Amino acid sequence: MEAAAGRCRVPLPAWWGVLFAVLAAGSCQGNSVERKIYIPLNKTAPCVRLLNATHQIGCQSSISGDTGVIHVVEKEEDLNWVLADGPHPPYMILLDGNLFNRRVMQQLKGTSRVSGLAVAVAQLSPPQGFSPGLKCPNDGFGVYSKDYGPQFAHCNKTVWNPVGSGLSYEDFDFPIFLLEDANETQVIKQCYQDHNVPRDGSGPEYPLCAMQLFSHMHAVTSTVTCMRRSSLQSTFSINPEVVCDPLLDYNVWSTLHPINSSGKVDPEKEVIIVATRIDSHSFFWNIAPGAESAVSSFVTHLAAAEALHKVSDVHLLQRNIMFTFFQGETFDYIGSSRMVYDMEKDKFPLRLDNIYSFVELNQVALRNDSILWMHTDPVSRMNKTVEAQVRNLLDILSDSSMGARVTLQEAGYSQPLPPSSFQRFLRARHIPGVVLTDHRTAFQNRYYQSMYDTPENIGMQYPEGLSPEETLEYVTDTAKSLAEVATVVARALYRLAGGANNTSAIQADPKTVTRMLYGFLIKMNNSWFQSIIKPDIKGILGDVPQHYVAVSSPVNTTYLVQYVLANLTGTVVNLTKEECLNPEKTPSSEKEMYEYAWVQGSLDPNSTSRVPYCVRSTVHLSKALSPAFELRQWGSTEYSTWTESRWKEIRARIFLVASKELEIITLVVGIAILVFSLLATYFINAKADVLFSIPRDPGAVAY
Amino acid sequence: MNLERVSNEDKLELCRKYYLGGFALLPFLWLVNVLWFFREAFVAPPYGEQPLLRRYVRRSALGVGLWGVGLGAWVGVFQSRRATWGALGDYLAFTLPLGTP
Amino acid sequence: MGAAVCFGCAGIAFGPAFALVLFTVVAEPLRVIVLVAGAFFWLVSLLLASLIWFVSVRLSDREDAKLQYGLLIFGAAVSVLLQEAFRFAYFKLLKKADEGLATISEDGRSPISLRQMAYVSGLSFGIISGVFSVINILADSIGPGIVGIQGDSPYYFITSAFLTMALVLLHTFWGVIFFDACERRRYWRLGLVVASHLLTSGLTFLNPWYEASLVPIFIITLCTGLWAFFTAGGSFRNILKCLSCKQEDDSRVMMYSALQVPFED
Repeated sequence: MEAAAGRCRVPLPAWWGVLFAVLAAGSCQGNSVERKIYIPLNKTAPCVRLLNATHQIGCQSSISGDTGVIHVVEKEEDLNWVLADGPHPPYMILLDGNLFNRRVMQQLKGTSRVSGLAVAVAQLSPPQGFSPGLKCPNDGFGVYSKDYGPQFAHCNKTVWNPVGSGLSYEDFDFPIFLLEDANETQVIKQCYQDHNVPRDGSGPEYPLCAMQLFSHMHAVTSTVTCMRRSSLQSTFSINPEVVCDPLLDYNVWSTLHPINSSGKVDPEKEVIIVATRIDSHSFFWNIAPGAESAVSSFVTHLAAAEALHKVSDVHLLQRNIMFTFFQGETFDYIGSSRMVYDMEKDKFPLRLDNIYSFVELNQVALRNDSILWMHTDPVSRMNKTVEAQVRNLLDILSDSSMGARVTLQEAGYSQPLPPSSFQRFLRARHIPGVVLTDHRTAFQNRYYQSMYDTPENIGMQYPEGLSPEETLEYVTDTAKSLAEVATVVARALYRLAGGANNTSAIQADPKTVTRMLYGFLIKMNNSWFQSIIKPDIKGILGDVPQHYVAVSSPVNTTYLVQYVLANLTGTVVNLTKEECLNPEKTPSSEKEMYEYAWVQGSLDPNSTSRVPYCVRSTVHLSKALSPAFELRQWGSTEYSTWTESRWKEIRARIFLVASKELEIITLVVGIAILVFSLLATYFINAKADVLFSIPRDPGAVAY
Repeated sequence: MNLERVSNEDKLELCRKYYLGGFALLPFLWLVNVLWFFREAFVAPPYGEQPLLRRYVRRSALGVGLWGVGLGAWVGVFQSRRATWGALGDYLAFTLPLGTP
Repeated sequence: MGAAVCFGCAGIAFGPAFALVLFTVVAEPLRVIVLVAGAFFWLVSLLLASLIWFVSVRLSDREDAKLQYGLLIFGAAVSVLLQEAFRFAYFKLLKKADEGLATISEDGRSPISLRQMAYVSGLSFGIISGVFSVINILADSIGPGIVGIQGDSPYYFITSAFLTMALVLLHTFWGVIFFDACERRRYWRLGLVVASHLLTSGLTFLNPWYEASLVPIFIITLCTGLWAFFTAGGSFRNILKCLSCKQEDDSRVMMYSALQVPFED
């Protein structure tokens, strides 16, 4: 046993296992030669391929990964080495986060000397703003088109996201990864400094430091193509290879007065819909903090729902209120278009006739001078009845803000609606509605749908030295300000629903708001979230919070919104675990009106066990899959057709590469030795009887 | 089967069967015919049945050639053009590459 | 293009072994049997040696680096001694087989001589030992990267291949010398073989200082090769005879052709 070959230890306790361990010496996990060659990069996020009816966006690598010599680009001049001067193309660029903009990416897209890109996340968000989303989000799927308000279509009047570069919606043919860990970025830079930097004027010499990125995507061209191929495979193949999945999840909805979720509500019953979105997106897969674009609005919404449920005469209100949380709105309104479709096709308990008015909350955290803007649709307001209803709605909202530290102002007739779920409802029926935002024209959010839309973006700051429990309970200024918005919204909803009493008692609780903000933006695995979820899904609380809609459902965000809403608006009932899990067996449970959930409960202070209990609420999930997939119209321009490609493996690693010359020399030497051995052996074998004479000693044994 | 031990009439009968069988869209029967009986038809010293044998072998060779050219042309066109055929290409293909059009 | 490095290193490591097997072993079924059985014996010796090393590592303190290194040296030495022990066992087995073959053959002589069996058994030990040394490294050399990012030498693959080639040849030569020593009861030669095996194994601990490990190992290979050549019955005179033998053969052929019976109609 020579020390030249590495040995690896397999820690199997059994004696017989040792035999297998020894015989499988070369193939056990953690092969030591492999560890000498490669350093894997574990904390990375890839850019994946998404497809819609006509295009593909995102990035693609070759099937066996893309390799390139590393070059660190920290200022724009460094790009010249990659694009023109460097002698060892193709290059794998390590880009500083501040240079990750459209101009640089256009230069990289056009050249074949780049085999991939790794972006090191900038420690501080770029001060000028960064948004890889479109300037005009969800254009073409809202209500404004050439037939309806053409002066407002395609952001002719207001460009909502002026910082938007549209990077997320470009198609790149090389892999792009995000390096989330600064330590790994430092390792790569150190390797670059040691091997790739030119010394003494001459170029860098082999061996050079290189990186390999694997992110091969299976789907191509468009949703039409990939869904067709997937369905052909599923129908005709023994081992079907599905190449893409539609983006789907669940909308969460709940009503103030319980309704029969499997029946139909009377057409005379009026419902006010309150809506927010709960998803966001960024350039990289599963990185979508969405603090301002999604979390601020749905947290406010949840707080308003809690405040309303605490009102004593809620059951006397004339109209019902439905709290709706739409999933998938970032991708051409998946959730809201599906709900409208279900309402039109009678698959939802409510119908469009039941909707009395619509209030939506969109990006409410970055208010200037505490002004909240009320946006309405000027085109539908040209109808007198609608105008009267909208006027009533706006007046009630303004009245509710009296005495609160939030001022509500109208955005005016000249402004269209910003991108919102309300637009999908307007497409079907001219419902009076209002969208509340913190911006009058363009977004205040300079990091819309980017990885920099973090808690810092909405001003969440905690003092130093707090433990996780203390941080959970600490009430930030952001929480207080969002609670004020929630108070105003709750009071307005009470009035809209026909409530006659004084609304000053309706208050949203900043403590709840701050706990929700902490859980949805900083740490999902906190004690409050742990106490309100079901025991069998406590595994979802592990990761860094992010709100991408994804293809496997429901995602963490949907689950948590569902359980938080159940906790805030539901009641604790005295049922045992069996009764709670099987409510149809209990006679008085009214299973169609309510949902029962058996939740973990909080930890006993001195023990490790929890006290679970049963929660009865009106929180339901409804499927948020674009109607285009139900109708199998994969090329639809009316409904969202976004799909996400499938892939086999995504990983990244760095290593050293030798020059081509050395490799060829090794091959030539090997062939030469082989040929020489063959010739020498042939000749020695042919002359063996001459070369190896047996000694003619009569006494010795001839062996 | 060793053709040396087979009588000339039986050889002709075999060749004829393979020739006729090839018309049932089985060009490999023609190929076998050509390879198996080439020596008998063109190299061996003449005997009574040989002219007929030659005819069958020639025609089989022609058939194989036409099939080869046809299949080769189809394979060439399909491999180079399938990506541009959209839905038709997907319906015609048995397996499709992942990640490339 | 990691495939070029992989094939090149495979050629370097197994070129001589391949040539030897192709021209001298494959044609004769008895030699093939001796080859495969010899590989099995080596594998059993490896199994026992690694059991001993594994148990000793499990029982020891994992954190102590010096102790682990010492155990590695101990494991290597135990492995060498076990390999030589199994070579001796194989010799005994082949001797018995030789006698058996002699009794059942038609002319009282076994179809394969003990010298041939010595050579083939040495080659079998060499091949299987080389395979276990280098297959792992060849598998990793197919990828795009080379060793070096953690600070090791970038010539790892090619030096491992050369080391394996030396090892294969060394085992072949040791086999010849060992069997001859056992047959003639010259036990000091046995001791020298074991000592040179231990020395070779010890020299590999000097890696990555390749000048100090590879060069002496190749010198040892050369010397052992010469020794094996002389043990197998070779001599300088034979070499000269072989080189000049070409002309003699030609002339003899001409004499024979001159004696050929003319073609009759």
